Amino acid sequence: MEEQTAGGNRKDSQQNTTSGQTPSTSLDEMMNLFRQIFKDDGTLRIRVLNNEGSEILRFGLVNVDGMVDKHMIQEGVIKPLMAFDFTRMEYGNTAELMEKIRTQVINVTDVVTSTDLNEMISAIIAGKTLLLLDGYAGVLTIGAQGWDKKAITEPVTEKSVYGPREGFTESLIVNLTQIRRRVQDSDLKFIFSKIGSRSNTQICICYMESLASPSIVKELQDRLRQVDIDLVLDTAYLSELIRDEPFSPFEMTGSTERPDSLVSKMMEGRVALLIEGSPYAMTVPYLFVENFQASSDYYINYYFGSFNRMLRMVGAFLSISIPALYVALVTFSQEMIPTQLLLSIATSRVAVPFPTVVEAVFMLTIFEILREAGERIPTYIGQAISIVGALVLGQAAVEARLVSAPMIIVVGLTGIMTLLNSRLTGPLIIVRALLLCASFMLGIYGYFLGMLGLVIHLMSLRSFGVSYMLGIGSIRPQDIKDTAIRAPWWHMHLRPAMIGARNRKRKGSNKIERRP
Amino acid sequence: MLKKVILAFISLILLISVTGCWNYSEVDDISIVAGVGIDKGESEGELSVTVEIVDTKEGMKSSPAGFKILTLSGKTIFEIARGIISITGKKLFWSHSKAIVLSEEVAREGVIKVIDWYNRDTETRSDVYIFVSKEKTAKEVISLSSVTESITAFALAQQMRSEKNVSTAPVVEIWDFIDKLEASGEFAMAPLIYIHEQNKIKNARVSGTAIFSMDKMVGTISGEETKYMLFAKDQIQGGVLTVNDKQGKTAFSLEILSNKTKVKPVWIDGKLQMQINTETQVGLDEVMTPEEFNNINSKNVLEERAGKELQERILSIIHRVQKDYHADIFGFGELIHERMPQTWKKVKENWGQEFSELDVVVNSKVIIKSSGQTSRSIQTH
Repeated sequence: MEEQTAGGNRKDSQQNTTSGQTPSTSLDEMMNLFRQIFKDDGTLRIRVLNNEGSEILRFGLVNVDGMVDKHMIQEGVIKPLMAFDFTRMEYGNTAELMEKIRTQVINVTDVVTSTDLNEMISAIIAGKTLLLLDGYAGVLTIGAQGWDKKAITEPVTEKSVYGPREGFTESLIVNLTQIRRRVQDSDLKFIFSKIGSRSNTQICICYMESLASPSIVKELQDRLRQVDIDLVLDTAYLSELIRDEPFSPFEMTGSTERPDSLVSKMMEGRVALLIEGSPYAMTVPYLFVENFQASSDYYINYYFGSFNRMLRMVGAFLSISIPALYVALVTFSQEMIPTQLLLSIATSRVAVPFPTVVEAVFMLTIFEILREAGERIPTYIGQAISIVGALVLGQAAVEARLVSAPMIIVVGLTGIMTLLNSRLTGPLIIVRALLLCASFMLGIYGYFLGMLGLVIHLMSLRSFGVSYMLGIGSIRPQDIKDTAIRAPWWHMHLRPAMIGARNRKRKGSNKIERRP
Repeated sequence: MLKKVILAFISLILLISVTGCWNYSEVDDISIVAGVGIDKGESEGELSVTVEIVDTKEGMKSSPAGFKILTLSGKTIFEIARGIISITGKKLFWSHSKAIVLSEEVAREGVIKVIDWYNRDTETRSDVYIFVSKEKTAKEVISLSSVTESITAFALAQQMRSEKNVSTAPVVEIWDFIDKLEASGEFAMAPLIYIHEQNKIKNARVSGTAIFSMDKMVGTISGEETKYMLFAKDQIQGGVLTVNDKQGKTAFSLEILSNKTKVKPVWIDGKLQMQINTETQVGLDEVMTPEEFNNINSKNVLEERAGKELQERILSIIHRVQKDYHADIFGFGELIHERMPQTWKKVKENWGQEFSELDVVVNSKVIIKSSGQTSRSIQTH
């Protein structure tokens, strides 16, 4: 692992307290200095030790309570220091002694020498333990952090019936091990840095060196370097800060909490960004079609996988179109509705006091309220409640003649179609409202005008230099094998050229011999 | 190639998007017209229009819609159509109208003045079925309530859709009708509509054909004759063909499975002759005699007899239309126009007369494809 200096997050606060100060050789002065810096921070623990044999040697241990693996400190640092026979050791000055302690006494893997006060302070904050030696103006930074972590659990937002069940957790290092376990290749690179001027959150850019485009990696690093924010809790913060087209409702960066899905994206040349404290990994560049790809598509039969994916696409299309088309047909182009259907719509509209578009807006809003309420309810009962609520409310509204029955069907269908694409819910709601508005004003013509606008918008988007959607002219058969359909693996020889152009070969072209 | 397909697709979408007018109106603010009947008005030069309007107020729960009948007189159709708003209070919506019924009186006086509006207006559709009422007025027909559908006009449309199983009336939509009115080598026709009374329940029944010369109705032919007329026009898609037995009594029913008619104008001895060849695939569906038919020979005999009878009947209806009406409803003129443009130039001026004197030869072939579930007739001991 390679530590890089984080850009953009100058630690103004800490520089103020330590400006002009250098580490002192006196242990007592050093301890006072730390006490002063961590004033009013009750978690700071300072301990002084003596060696059994040579009592002139005084050591100090500084760390933050709760972030340290106490057992490891006890067994790996305190016990050896106390018990080691320093009289047998030859050393010229304290620096030499410290180096010998580092190499011969301490029983912990991660130990480095440090003489910079800023470094020491960030090490304490990060949960490391400092070992001070009286008479030496430096410390040993001992990486023996330890705190309670959540166990690896099934991803909540991307459930899959088939395939791996592991999801990312809030611990960055655990997440990275999950990636590494899946790709055991030295090509896999992890670049660490820190972000957030106060939170000092550790982030990690993760990619396959020979697959990812260097310009995308560089662009991502450049954009991250320019981020100047005090607190970062989730990759969504960063995504919103560094994404292309900040005003578009569509997601311009990918987000997944499935290691398997992340790894497969990296294998196509995408670059991932993980941060400490969030189970969501961000991937760039992001294409429109990724909204419809689910990892289970790849774990089931490709006919069925393709079918499911097409359902999702049709669902997204219908969920923005159904209310708009219904309003356009019923209020403008009644001649386009089949006669029997028109009659049944007309009979159910009788005695409904509101115009069709008001009905539509009213019911769609109610649906969104129920959806949001269902999300806020902390258990999975939420969804059931929202459906029951919608049914009961819908039934009552129809009987009270507040809305017509076909409108309930329209809204119900729209809602279900939206749920097919949980990742697209936000953009779909906005686009649906705009299309509904256009249809209400201009009828079918307005709907098509709105659709045209949507297509133009989608076609103009670019994520990290890669087109969000492909134009008719730039479609190559090999690139669209994993879009509307999921082609079988034996058919996908190359990586998509837009992202994985550096090393396109995905699989060999040899036929697998099958003897019956 | 791909670009052309996409271009075509895009223009198709654009085409759909610009049809219809974008006037905002709620469905419950329009009166949906199901059908319309046109009669002569009480005073001279007036027309009386009867519209059947779907009544959405009734039957709100289960079966949609009853109907309302409104009649208004006026000088022009459009004047009446707008006048009706003063009764209904809602604008009439014509796009879903399914049937237009003309009274015989109106048809005999000339139909152009009554159907021009229907053809010209932007809201009406040209795929509406046209009928001529054999009853006294069109109003009687349009006011009926039917057995299958509560709305007569929709029932009529349904009848026309299944007419191909019967073939006793031509299926004519208004665009087709107007097309024929304008063609010089073909005359227009329309199905006739009756009221069929049974157990005091009145039903509309479509059978027979009204024949038009120019835009005026000149006569009718019966339902049975219509079938053979349709044979000559190659418009048979189904129906029943009856065949006599040796004694001349009707004894066999053949179901028409498919039919192909080829009409060819030829010059024979300096005279124009129409050669009509029909080839009909049938299934034997009913045998009312114990006569043997199960061997190859008897099948051939039956086929031959059926062909001969069909041939005679087709010829007989052509002769009758030639003699009585001088109206080329068979479209022979158009055919000559296509195949022999030079000849057409000579005959087209006086085509009605030329048609009456045209020499016609019919050659029919009937092929029995199957004999139903059994291969033998019911034999008594």
